[in-house]
Amino acid sequence: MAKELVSHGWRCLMLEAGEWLDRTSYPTDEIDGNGRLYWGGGIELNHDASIGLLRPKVVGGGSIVNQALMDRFDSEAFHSWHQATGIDDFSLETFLPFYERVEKELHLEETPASAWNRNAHIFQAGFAANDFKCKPLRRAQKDCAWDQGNDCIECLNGCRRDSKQSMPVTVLKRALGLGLKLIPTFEADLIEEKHDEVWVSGNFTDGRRETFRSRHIVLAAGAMGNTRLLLQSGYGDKIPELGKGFYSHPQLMTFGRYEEVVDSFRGPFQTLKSDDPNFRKAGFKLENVFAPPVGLAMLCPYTGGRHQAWMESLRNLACIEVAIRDVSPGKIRLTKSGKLFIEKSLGQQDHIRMRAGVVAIRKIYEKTGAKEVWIGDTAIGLHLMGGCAIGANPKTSVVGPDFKLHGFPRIRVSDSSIFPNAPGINPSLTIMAMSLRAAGLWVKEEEGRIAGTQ
Amino acid sequence: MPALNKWQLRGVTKLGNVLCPGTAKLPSFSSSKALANADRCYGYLTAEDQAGLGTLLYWLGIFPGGVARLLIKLVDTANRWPKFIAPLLRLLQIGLKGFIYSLYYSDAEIRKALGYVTSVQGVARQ
Repeated sequence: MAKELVSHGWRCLMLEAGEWLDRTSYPTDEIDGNGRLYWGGGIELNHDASIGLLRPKVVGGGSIVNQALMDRFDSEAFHSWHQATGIDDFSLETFLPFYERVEKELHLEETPASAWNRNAHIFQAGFAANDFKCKPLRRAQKDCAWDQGNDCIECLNGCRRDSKQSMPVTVLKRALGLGLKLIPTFEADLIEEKHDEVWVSGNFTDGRRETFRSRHIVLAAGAMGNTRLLLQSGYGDKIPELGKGFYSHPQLMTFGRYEEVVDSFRGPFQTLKSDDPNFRKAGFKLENVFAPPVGLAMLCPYTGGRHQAWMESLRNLACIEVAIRDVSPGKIRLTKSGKLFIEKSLGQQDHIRMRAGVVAIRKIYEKTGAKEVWIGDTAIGLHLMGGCAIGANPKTSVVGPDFKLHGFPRIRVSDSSIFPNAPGINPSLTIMAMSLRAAGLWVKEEEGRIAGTQ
Repeated sequence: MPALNKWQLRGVTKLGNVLCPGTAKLPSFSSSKALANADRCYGYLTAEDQAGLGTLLYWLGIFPGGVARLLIKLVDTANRWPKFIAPLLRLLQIGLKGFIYSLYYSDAEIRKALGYVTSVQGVARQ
C-alpha cells in the first residue's frame, strides 16, 4: 500500500510498533527471537488458553518470521468472500492482475526436489502411498544455497542472508527509496478525528508520548492490532461489528518417529503442501514443517524424564502440520483494563475438520514406517484474520468495499483484519494483492477529486 | 532490564529440575548453563506476566522442591478439570514450561547434545 502511494508522489509516514532490524541484527536464538519479534514475549493465548496465537511485532511483520509461502486464493475462497460480503469484486478474475503485479515484486520459486530434506521425502512418499495429492509450496526466496549447508529454520527469526523475500528487502525497501518515512518502536493507542485530520497518538518504547497528524490513515496492524486500536479509540460504540469474525486457521503439529535419522530441520524445512481436492472440501490442508527446540519442547506431550527422552529423538522425527479452514468465528474485545481478550474456540465443524486431517496424517506416517505417532493437543493460530470484516452492508461489516471504515472516510483498513472469513489458504499474497487494489481505488478517487476541483 | 532475585532464581532452578531432570545424554537443568539466560528471558515478558511469574517463582524458591513437582503435576492435568479452572491451569502450564524450556533449549550445548545443529551463511553481525 505505502509503496503504491509514494510511487504516485504522495507523502506517507509508516508507524510501526516493532523494531527495525535487518540481516545484521536479527536475533540468533529462540529467547531473543520470541521476545523481540512477537507480541506477548512470543505467544498470546485465547480466552481459555487452548489456542496459542503468534503475532509478529517487527518492521516487516509476518514476512520476517514466516516461511514466505505465496499462494493465490482459489475460486472457492473468492466465491465464499463474495457471498459473505456482497462485493462483486471478490473474484479470481478481478484479482488476477493484482496477483501478477505482486508476484513481479517478489522472487517466487518452488524448492527443487534435489534440495528436499528427508521429512519432505517422507511427506511425498506418504501422499503417494495413500493416493493423496501434494505439490511443492511456492515461496518468496532466492539464493538460499542449501548445498552450502544453509538451514531455512534459522530464518524464522529473520533471514540473515536476505534470501527470504521479506518486506524490508523488497517492497518496503523500494517504498523507502521513493520517499516513505518509517518510524519504528512506536505503539499507537489512540485515533482521533479532528476537523479534516486524523490524529494518531501513542508511545515510543522509551516512554515518550507523541501525536502524529495526517489527512488520512491506513490501519495495517493485523486482526488483533487494528481491532484493539479501534476499540481503544471508541469505535466499538459506532461500529457494532468491530471485533467480530476472528479466524486463525488453527493448526496442530504432528510427529512420527522413524528408525532412521530424518533431520527435519535441515535445508528447506517447509517445501510441500497437500493439493488434494478432497482435503480442500473437507476443510484442511497439510504441510511438512518443523520447529526449533524450544517450540518443539512446548509441543512435546510429556513432562520430566519422558519429555527429555522424547526430545532426544528429535533427529528421528518427521513432522506434518494440519491447518483447518475454521468456520467458528471468534470475537476480539477489550477487558475493562484495556487488555486484548480473544474469544475463540474450535466449533464442532472445526473439530471434524481437524480430525479428518489427523486421520490423513496417521495414514501417511503408517505407510512410511513410523514407529510412533504423536498428535499435538495445543492448537496454534498463525494466520490471524478478521475483526474488521469488509462488506457492502454497514450493518454486517466494519469496512466498506472502498476499504474505508464505515462512516469514517479518513480511516482505511488494509490487511488480514478485513477478511470476512477464513480462506483456508496461506493469506500473505492475497493481503498484498488486496492492498494494491485498495491503493489503486484510493489513487483513482483522489485523482477524480482533484480533476473535479479544477 | 528487570532481574530475578536469588529466591526467584532458586524457584527457576527447582522448576527447571522438575521439567528437565537430565538423562544420560542431556544434563539436568541445574547442571546446564540455562539459568544464565533467566534475566534475559524474564525481561521480554509483559509487566503483568513478570509480576505473576515473579511471585510464583519466589514462593517456589522458598518452598521445598516437592512443591514445584506437585505444581507441574497439577498443571499437566489441566484438561481434566472443569471449565472454570482448566484455562488457568493451561495458562500456568504454558507459562511455566515456556519459560523453563526457553532457557534450557536455547542453550547451545543442549542443542548440540540433541544433534540440533543448524546454520545459515549470513553477514557479519552488528
